Amino acid sequence: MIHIHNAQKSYGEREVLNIESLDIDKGACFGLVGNNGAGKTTLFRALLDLIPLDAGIIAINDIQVSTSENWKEITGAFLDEGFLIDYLKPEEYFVYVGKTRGLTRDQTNQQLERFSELFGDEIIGQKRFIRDLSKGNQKKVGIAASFIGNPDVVILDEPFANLDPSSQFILRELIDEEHKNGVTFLISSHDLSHVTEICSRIVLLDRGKVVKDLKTNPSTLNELEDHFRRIKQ
Amino acid sequence: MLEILRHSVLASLRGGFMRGGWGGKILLGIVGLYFTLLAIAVSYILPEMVNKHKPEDLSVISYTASFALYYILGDLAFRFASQELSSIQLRHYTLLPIPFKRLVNLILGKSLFNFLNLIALIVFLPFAKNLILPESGFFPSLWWLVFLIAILLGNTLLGTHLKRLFASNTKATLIKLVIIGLIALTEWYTDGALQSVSQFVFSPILSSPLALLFFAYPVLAYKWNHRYLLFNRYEERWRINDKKDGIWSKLDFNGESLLSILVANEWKLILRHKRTRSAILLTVLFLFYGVFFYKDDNIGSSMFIAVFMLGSGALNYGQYLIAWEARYFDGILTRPLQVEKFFLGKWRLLVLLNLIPFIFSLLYAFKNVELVPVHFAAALYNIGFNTYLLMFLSTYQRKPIDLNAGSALNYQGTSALQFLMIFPLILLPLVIYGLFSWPFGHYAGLLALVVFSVLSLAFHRTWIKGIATNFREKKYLMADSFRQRES
Repeated sequence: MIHIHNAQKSYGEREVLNIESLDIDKGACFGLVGNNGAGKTTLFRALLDLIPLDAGIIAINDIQVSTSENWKEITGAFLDEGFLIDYLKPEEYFVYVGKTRGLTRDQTNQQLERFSELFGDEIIGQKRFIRDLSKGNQKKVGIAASFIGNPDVVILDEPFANLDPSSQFILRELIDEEHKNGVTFLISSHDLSHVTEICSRIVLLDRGKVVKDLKTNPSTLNELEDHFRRIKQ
Repeated sequence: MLEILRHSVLASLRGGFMRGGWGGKILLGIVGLYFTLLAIAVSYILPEMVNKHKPEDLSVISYTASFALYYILGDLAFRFASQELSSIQLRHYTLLPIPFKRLVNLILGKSLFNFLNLIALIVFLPFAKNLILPESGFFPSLWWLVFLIAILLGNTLLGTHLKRLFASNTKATLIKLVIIGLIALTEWYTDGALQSVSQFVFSPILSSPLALLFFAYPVLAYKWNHRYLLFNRYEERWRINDKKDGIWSKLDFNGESLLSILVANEWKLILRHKRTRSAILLTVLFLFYGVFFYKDDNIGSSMFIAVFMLGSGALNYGQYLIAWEARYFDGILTRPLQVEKFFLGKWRLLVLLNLIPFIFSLLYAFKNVELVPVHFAAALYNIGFNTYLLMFLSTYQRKPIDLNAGSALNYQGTSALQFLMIFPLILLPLVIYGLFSWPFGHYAGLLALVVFSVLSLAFHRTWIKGIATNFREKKYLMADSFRQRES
């Protein structure tokens, strides 16, 4: 589904991304971990063609992201609040996102039903703009929007940060559900226990390089924790 | 205490338009210098004007007293509109062991030292020395100055207080307009009665120690501010107000097709932010530009005015066409929204921004019917060519604009580019018009403009494609620059 080959990016002398080869299968749940500055967000931005690579190829479903725009139709993403139009009300925003994916108002609302538990009664039907919502609720809006139109690939940067504990569990169930429907997930997180629970494969980045590439098993969490403890020392 | 003052100086140096690159800084410097020079010039001209207009039997003090009421109200209104709220970020300090009262005193004290007060002193100190001192002697001039300073301090404080109370409130704006209207009407129908009232009330005060009583005004205003700030020390009390969607959202429209939703969203962007709203309101004011500047005898010179007047809305908004959306630019780039579509939405909005003023400008037909074809040609040019040019140039406007950091003098995003953009946008139509009207007459010039615009419109698809290609080349640079906003 996703093919990364020899992807390189540096700012001046500082190398921020150098991935020789990384392939992610269709329907995988791919977890990305690493300390701040390891290159997680850079990798996601490159995947979404938000920054140009110095060298190398990134392709989603065999479409090279930097030369064609067709990958956008099968990709949903939420990296940060820079994806939200913050002066809209959540409903208005959802309708807009739905329209870009060719959905009518009703179809969009229908697709949002699965989020009713995550939203509680704080998002829909409020007279508030997105900019007036709390960080956690903004995050919920962004994540929900990335699911609209049922894309084949969903890319989420730190989806669990800022969410309250209940919402974190609801989100995990939602991701699991969609994963079963065949959606490919790319998720970065500092929360090691969440990623090891939901992801079948975990890649550890350090200074832009793939340091570990693990198939998740019961001992993965320990292995990751050990690694980060060692880096600290 | 000093440390907090140092922080607020640092904040103003490191924030706002000081971060906005050299264009903004130079602009700010020029504006400041300009007003200072203007004030000095006024302080020289004022005595002459007074000598010319003042009735012989009136003393200078009585004469100035007749304007006192206007000055007080006008100054207050201007402060309400333009004065920035001096806000030391209280939140950062409330946790420190500093008495809250002292923080409030600091905020209020700081607000007294502002540019407007400086300007007023530059104008009026020489005035008192040169005109009042020779005529009335030392003490009357002293009382006159005392009164002036009391009013300046009082207005500063009351202005900020009113602003704090009403700034986010649209009804207050309406009330303000009504009050100004009422004053203007009274003035109109009573033929200067207010002036006599003002003179009657203020001339005894201005020349006697009674002026000292007016220090009650700043003291009272200070008290109000103080009480209000103390009450609102808890953040939740003053944040509630902003959260309603307000009367502006009544003007929303919603579409069904993607294109109309794009236009509707952008319309909401305009309505839901103060800075864009004022850019558009300015357009309405510009529509009156012609009332003052059109001359009946020279229809040719009206071309410039027409292009400017009718295009100002699209210009004001269009120069930052993409930068307005800096906050969520990454979102735009990753959505399955064709770049061409994106620009088509923008084009429609720009057409709208040109069309609405044009329709209103038809009222100028009552002034001179010949203006209608001029307006038609100008509007057609603005729609047929300037819209594309604006969309093309907007990819070079890479300073992010954070619309939520709204304030009266927010020049975020301003750079030398703004000034350069004006030339092709305004001068080109004049060149085209001039080239044909000079040998063949006025209507040939108009016709040339119309033909040019229609031809340009015929290339609509080509323009949009070219603009989209240009955008695709520049998008990484733009995205990168837009991401540099403060987080």
